[in-house]
Amino acid sequence: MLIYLPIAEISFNVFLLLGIGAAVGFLSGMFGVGGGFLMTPLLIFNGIPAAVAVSTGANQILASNVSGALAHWRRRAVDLKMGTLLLSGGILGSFLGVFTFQYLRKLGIIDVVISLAYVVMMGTIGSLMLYESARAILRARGSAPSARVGAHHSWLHGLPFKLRFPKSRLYISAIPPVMLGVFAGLLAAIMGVSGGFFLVPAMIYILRMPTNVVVGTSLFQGIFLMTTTTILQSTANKTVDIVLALFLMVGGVVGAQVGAAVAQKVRGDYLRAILAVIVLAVGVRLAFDLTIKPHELFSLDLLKRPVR
Amino acid sequence: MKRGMIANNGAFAREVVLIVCLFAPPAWGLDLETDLSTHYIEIRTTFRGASLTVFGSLSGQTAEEESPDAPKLDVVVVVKGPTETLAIRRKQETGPIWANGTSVVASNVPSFYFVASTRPVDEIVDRALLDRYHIGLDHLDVKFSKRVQVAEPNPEAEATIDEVLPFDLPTSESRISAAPISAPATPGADQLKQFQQALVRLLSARNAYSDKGTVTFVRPHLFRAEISIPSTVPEGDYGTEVYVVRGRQLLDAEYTVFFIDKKGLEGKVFDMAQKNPFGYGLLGVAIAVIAGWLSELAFRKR
Repeated sequence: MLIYLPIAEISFNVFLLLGIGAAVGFLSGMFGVGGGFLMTPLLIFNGIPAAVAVSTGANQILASNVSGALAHWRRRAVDLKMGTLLLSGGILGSFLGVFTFQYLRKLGIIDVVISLAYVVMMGTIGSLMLYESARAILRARGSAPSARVGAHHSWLHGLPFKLRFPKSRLYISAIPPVMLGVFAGLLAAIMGVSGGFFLVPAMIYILRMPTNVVVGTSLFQGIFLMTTTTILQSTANKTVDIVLALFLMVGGVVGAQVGAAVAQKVRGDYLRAILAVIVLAVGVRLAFDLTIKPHELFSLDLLKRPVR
Repeated sequence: MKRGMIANNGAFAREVVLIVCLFAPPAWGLDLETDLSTHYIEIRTTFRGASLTVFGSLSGQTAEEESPDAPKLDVVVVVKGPTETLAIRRKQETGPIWANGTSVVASNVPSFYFVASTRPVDEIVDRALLDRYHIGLDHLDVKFSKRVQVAEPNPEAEATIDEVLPFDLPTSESRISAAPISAPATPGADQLKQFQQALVRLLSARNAYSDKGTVTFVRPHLFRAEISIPSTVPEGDYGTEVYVVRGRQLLDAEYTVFFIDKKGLEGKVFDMAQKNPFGYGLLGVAIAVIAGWLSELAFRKR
């Protein structure tokens, strides 16, 4: 069954839309990554214009985040205090990111920067996570008890403005969460994602939060980042397609619920390993796309819409 | 000149159409009359593209002109959608990676372009005429200008395009509907031709451009052609030109318009996005929050 999408200006298979939304939502509920880095290529591959894919993706990710965050909240797996610190940094970061984006655009190197940013972030984070979680799994299989990631404290935790975070069982400085939030917001604005793929590992390895709280907190913070992005994109670029978003959302929120339920039942180190593999795979694929000669060297960018 | 009443946009478009005869028909000789099966297409929820028929009749030929030995009549139909401005970007090797390098801005680009004819247009009409009336994918009336790139990895590449566009931006333009036969084939002209061909190639891949349509004579004086329109077209005015040719001479031509409009829920969504973007953004956010909340309620364990 086909439906016409007014901003994307294409008629699309409804079930395919629901499926894409569900797949991305599942990732969101399970790992706390918004799925933006998967949603955008999936939509573009199916004929949606790139600008519409990125902007509408933000709207859909918002819905999955709300759904997933609520689900984790019910299971008492969201650290609101930490999340608020993260998102306050995130909003600041996204403003900085928007200005950086415009500056890079003026220099004409924005495409390269975005692609490189994706490859570098995905590559390093994926490798680090895979290494750490593989070690944790092997350690757990051996006779020695698995060391909980949250047990160690680093110098970052000793910085001023220390606060208690009961949900995460941490007593650390407030500065690292805010800084991490700023960086996540920067990434979100430049790369068009929810920042979860950076924040989730950062919360685990830098802040040393327990894995089961990390996903919900990341989703919570993502809600505010995605709200900002949706409104900015629809006002500045008019590229948000609500009809498209609606169908993606329906699939997405269902997927997020399933993902959240599955996440609570899987061990922390296995979750991290699976996430690491996914992130690495995407990074490798992007690096591949960047370095080999494309089939079609030319591409088109709409600068001015048809005059009515 | 034959004229209909002036066409209005919107709901009244169905009632009145503009049909213009492009040549003053002589008192004797060939007369062309054409029309479309519909002058108004609505885009609604189930829109998946549309098709319409252009048809017409030819009258007033002499017995001599109608004899089987006389040169045959040919008909060419050209449909052009509303115009837009695009950037055509070409990737080039920048160190280890392939990234967008040179880009050329193309304005006055038709968002939809369709040609149908009784025979391939090159066989019917001379190149000069194709250029003059902008018939055919190689003869589009598109203006190219250079875009300023600050980080230019290969200055030589830019220099060659400058040979074809020797002026400074932003006032410079170059029309490349067809390189004049007398002009030398400079490397710059070659480069620009690549961009022009890429434009046509990419838009044809999207089904926005096609020159493979056929015009058939169902009776000796009655012809028709099917125009198929993909779902990805914008709303606006679509001009349709019909030409009659014999012996490489243009004998008569007519011009008419059909309108495509986004209506219904999709139309309202589109209008709101354009006219009230902040409210539209808030609406999107509200829908997302409600959707997320409702789904969580639905799935909550009892």
